Amino acid sequence: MRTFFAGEYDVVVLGAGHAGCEAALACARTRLKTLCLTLDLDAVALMACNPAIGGTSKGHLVCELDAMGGEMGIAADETYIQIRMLNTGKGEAVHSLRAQIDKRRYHERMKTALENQENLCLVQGECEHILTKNGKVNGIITAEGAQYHCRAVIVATGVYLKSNILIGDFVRESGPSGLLRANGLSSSLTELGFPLRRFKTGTPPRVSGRTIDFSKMEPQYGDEPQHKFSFMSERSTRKQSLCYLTYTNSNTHKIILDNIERSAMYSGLITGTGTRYCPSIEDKLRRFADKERHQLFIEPEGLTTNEMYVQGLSTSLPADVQTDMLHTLPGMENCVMMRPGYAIEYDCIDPLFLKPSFESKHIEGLFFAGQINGSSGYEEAAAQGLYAGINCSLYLRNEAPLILSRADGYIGVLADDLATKGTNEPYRMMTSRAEYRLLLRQDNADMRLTELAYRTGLVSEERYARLMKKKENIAIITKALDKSVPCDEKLAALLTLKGETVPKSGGVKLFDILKRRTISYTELAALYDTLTVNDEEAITQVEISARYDGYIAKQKEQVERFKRTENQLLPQDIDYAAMDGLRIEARQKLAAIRPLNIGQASRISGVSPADIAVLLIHLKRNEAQHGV
Amino acid sequence: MQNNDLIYALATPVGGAIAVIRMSGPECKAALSRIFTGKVQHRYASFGHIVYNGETIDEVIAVCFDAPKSYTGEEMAEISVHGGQATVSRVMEVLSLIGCRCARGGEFTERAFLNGKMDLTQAEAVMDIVNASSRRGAKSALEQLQGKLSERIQEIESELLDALSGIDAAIDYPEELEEDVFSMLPSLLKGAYAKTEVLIKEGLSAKVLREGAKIAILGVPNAGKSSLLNALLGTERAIVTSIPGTTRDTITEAVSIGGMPVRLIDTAGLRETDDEVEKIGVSLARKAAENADLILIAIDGSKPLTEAEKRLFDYSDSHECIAVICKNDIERIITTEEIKESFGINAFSVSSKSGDGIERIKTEITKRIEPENESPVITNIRHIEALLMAKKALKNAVDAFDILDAECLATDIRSALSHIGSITGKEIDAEVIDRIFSRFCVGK
Repeated sequence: MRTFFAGEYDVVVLGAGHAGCEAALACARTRLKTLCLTLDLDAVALMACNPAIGGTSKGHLVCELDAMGGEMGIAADETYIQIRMLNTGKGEAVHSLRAQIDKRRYHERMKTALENQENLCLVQGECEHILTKNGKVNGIITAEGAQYHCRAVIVATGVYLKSNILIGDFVRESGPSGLLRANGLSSSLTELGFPLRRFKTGTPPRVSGRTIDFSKMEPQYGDEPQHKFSFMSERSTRKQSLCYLTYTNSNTHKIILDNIERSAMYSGLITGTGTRYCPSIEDKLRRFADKERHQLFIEPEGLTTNEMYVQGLSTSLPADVQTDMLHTLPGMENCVMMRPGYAIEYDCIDPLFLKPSFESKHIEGLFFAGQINGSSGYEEAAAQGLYAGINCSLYLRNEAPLILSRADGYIGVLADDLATKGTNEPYRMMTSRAEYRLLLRQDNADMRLTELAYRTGLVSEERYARLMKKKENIAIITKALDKSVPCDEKLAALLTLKGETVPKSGGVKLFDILKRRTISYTELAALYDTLTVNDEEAITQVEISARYDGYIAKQKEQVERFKRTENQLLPQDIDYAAMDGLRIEARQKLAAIRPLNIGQASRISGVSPADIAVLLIHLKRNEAQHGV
Repeated sequence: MQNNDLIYALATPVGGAIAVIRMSGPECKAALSRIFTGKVQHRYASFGHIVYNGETIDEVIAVCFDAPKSYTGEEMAEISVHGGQATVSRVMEVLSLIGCRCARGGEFTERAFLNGKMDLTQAEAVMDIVNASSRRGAKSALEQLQGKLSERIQEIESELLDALSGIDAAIDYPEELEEDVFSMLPSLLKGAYAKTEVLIKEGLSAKVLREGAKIAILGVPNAGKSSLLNALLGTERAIVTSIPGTTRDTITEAVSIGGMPVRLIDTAGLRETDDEVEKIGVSLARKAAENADLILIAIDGSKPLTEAEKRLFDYSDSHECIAVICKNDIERIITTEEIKESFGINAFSVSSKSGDGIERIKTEITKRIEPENESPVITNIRHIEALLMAKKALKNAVDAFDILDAECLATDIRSALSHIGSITGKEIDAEVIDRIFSRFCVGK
């Protein structure tokens, strides 16, 4: 095909899903001339699966990306139709925010943000070739032959690369929801030296809410007062929608098991690797045969549609079987299935080919973010998009990358897991993956990350000023609470009222009183006029640090130990193959992954503590020889 | 390496009259002064008591060294405590309670090197040590333990993994998890705690650990027994001459082999003699052999076997024996295969001069002296240390169960698991996630 010159940009972002949107916004907001290419302008920021953002550990990711100047948190706050805090029965560290989102409005909200962003050009088109010169990215060519020149590319193509949709024995070359797939880019990536893998995921059917009898289900309400993801949003008082809970039963199970060989998963049609994190209903029945029923959550897809999402019923069974099994569910006996569930398989790369900044190890200026890296989930994608966008921008400005560690945030855990350990199945974030869970909370994402991200230029002055004010208030409160007070009548009365023991005599520190879960700062402030600060977020921070006191100290100690090895940098030109004393497996793994520091090296599977000792000794010896 | 944590290790095997515990790392003196009543001062041997929580544990002498004027180049202390097993393990327990960590093998030396206390030639020697340990590292510590014992540790680990994966499933899937994972927790945790405690107790009271395994070196005069002893010790301790009959008494040396305390007993050469003094030596040698847990039969490899030497192998009917063909560096006419064939016991050849073959013998010794007949116990002090740390974390979880949030409990259990993982070599995160998805039907 004849190509034509179509424009010159600093960076081209391929894809406008959750990763692409964040990446494009991050680049444009840091004053890079940015082109964002999407296969379909009507599918920008499409929530192709669950109409929800957040949940355990994913809520953490959203708060973190918000703290660094990302868009998802604010967009979710503006478009949610129900919001709930999960895990409120447990401590604050694992509180997780989850919101039902109006799908269409989220798409429009995000598309508007991209369209109106200075320095950003949003265009429909399919990239077929990534061009390089001397190991550096220098342009792309679209299917129509448009050639763009650029200095960097961020690949955020999601599940669209050579994707197939499977419904029973029906197979179609298609992206999610019947959208176009990308055909050309896969071979360009292979030519650039990225072996491709085939991953698989799936989605449940959607049914018409008008045909469901909700009186037979348990309603689920949103929380009041309402929460928010973004540190910049205000609490909303909007009317919230309802979700509903129902269960599968023996009839449902019989239909599924009777037809299981017709499922694309079991007939051998699917070759991609699925994930344990999102099992299909047929998987659940197979693996947990003795379970009599499975929960299903019926969730609205938006305010202007009747479509309801049936969470828990992800499947690749044929459409007729899907209809039959839906009809066995209480309240759904006569429901109309508006879209069948399906499995989708797609090409993705091995994230071990990436640096922890998500830049390719062997091609300069080529970044990857989102499901193309083998992850799953909108929040995981968005976090990677922001992170890759930030690092792409720093790269083009010749500045050091922003590398978040496992002690900085869930984004750091995500990036380290992907780039150090890789993944053999679509990767989902979980709080269990975070070693320092008590420190990495939603509520302190700004305290952890806003300052770190400040140098990127993504953090607004207003956001920064808010954080400074909050920190100042925390310091004032902490100082005031550090005072000993006599255990007098008014304090004794409060403690007795709360069923707490009263200290026998002498003075007691107010901070120690606050360690008791039943006592709040506000109650103490009513008794002591030294407690003057009335900043809700600052108060929460102090209360949490009082309640977790000993445990936070323990984890901080662990973090200190962790940081020591993390700060021992490894030169990037080490010849591991020639390093005496390393086992062969360790040499190969180290040479392939090229860890940035001793800490990262120690997390590579196949590298033993003895290998690390050898590495340390070599490092020290080199330093001695070179007089560093 | 900058900014190390505070480590300690037993520098002498348990069982001697005095045991020396070394500490190294930042704030070493401050840590010591928290539990030691005597003066804490550079190069000053000070008498005092080890006191923890009001309990006086032992009367000791402690010497401190300021950085960098110490072996490791860090702040160090050496505490000489009374050598009884109970005292030594209690002092070590107290050290871990105040935040010290049991050193890995070779870690003192490693630190000395990294702090520039050794030159490059010495560093090469350290590399050898590390290389040797990396070869051993290929075999996990767990495999070195006996089957039954590793089963017991894995049982504790498995219970804790069940507990943790239950809590983590509840945290990660609050809406979907229908099983009650919390009601079983108290019994799981108490069970794991009790089992850990038993393992530690058994280990600490084990005979080998308490007294050190007794290994007698037997042989005819001038077979190379003393050279073998010295090679095993790594020092010139026994007098070596080429005059037969030099060792007339038994010489006992304490040493640690494979993490276990060992008493090596060098004996007078066994031969018929009229010399009264030598006669006493020979009868002492026979007595030492009778009482030994393991006998090393030293053979002079440069000459054909004598009748006297052949008779030494009679001990193999009643005792654990290893044959060692000495003087490997002189022309050798006896092979290990011949010995094996003729007498049915494992043989090794060694050059006491160059040290060739010594490591193999040490490995064989370790294999043999681990108690097999009595109920298997943990004899490696580092494993016991790991269990002590796990026990400490679990105690917290058990004691405060009713008031702790799930995520705090999880923190304690994870901490216990990471200590146990240092024995079993398991990666906790992957294990926990595997268990969540194999036990619970979660995920959408």
